[in-house]
Amino acid sequence: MVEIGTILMMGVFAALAIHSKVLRLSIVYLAVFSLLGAFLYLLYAAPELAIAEAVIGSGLVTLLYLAALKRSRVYTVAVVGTGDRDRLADAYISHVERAKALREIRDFFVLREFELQVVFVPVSLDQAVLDPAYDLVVVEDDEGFSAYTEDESYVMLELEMMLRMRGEASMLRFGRYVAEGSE
Amino acid sequence: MRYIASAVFVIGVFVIVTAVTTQHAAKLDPYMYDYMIENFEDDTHAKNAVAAILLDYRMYDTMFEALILLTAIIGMKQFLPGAADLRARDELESVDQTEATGEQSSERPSE
Amino acid sequence: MSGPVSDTMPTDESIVLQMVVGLLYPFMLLFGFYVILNGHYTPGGGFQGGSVLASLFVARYVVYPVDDTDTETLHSIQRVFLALIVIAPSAVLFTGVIARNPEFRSLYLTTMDVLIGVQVGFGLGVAVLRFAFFQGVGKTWHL
Repeated sequence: MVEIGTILMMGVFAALAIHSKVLRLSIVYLAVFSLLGAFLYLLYAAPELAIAEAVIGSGLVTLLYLAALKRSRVYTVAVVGTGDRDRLADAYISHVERAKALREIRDFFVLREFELQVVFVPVSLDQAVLDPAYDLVVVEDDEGFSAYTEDESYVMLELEMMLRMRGEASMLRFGRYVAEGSE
Repeated sequence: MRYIASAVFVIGVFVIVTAVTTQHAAKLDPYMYDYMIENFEDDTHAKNAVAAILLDYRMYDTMFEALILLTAIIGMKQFLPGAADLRARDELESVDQTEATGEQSSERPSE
Repeated sequence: MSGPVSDTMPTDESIVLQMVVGLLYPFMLLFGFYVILNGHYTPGGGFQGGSVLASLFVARYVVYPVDDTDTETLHSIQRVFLALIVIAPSAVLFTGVIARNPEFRSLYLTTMDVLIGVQVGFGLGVAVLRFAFFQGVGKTWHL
């Protein structure tokens, strides 16, 4: 009974690792898969293999995958708030995460197999755009979401083009930020 | 469609391999492992049969396994740039940058 | 500069991670040596204990991702231990010395476990560190 449960769980985690859109989550699922495999070895009375699988499968290999993923480009989207709402509250974060605008950005990056992370920062728009740690800054005001970037790479140009072509349907306006004093 | 095709392929391979291996499973001579399981304690004074087999009966396996690990790491060190190479490259790049920004070369110490 | 490279100091790592790894570190070391030294008596052995020792390098990398480990020296030590792994059985086991002196058998097994453990531990440690610090020399690489 425990055996069958473990094997089914391994299957579930293997499928999750393949189908997860976020690569970092795939690595975590693979680590859990390895840990369940180690437990299965223990059930089949092979404790030596269980030790090796637990250490190598979910320790060393997970770290290697994470280090390799770190080498790929990670785009950081910063969400800054304007107005008087508490911009770091859980309710606001889940509201933004479920918004159509952010899903559009997420789908755009998933389609190109770039890693995307969304952070919520308590700074003003100017500071966020000028901070080199953030590639794209999303602001919600009364009229909806707007995205700003200073980045001129082809990915951002492509994103801008897509959003301009979608127009109103994308629920997201795109603005190119011009630093003060450069005009 | 692609998922279904690959699923059918994988299940087909699984069935064929299982059928072939169960039909033609070689009957191993049980003499060797019976002997090992009965006599490993007297032969090697180990309480653990796996350790007895790895370190005594099958010593060549262990030796060449260690050699495989060493070979893999030698290959890795050969093909990945080493720490010394990367430091040299970083220094080279910084020198290039100072030249490009128009630093007076007379200020740099002569080599 | 908005890539993965971050110039923050290692002390900026999460305090939870630092404390947990600091607490677990001696126990990981102890467990590794326990698995190696009791290899002929309980489940485990050189390879398993060596992997546990290699995970010490990983734990250190997670909280202090600075490339200051001398992997060349570790690799040289690994080569020496491979030579010992070849020499020890050739001198003792294959020549029949052990067969004539059975009281040395436990000593031989423990010695071999220690040799293999150090070899595997340093080998896997070097492998992981070299991949983790690939092209990242002089900079700090956070996970």
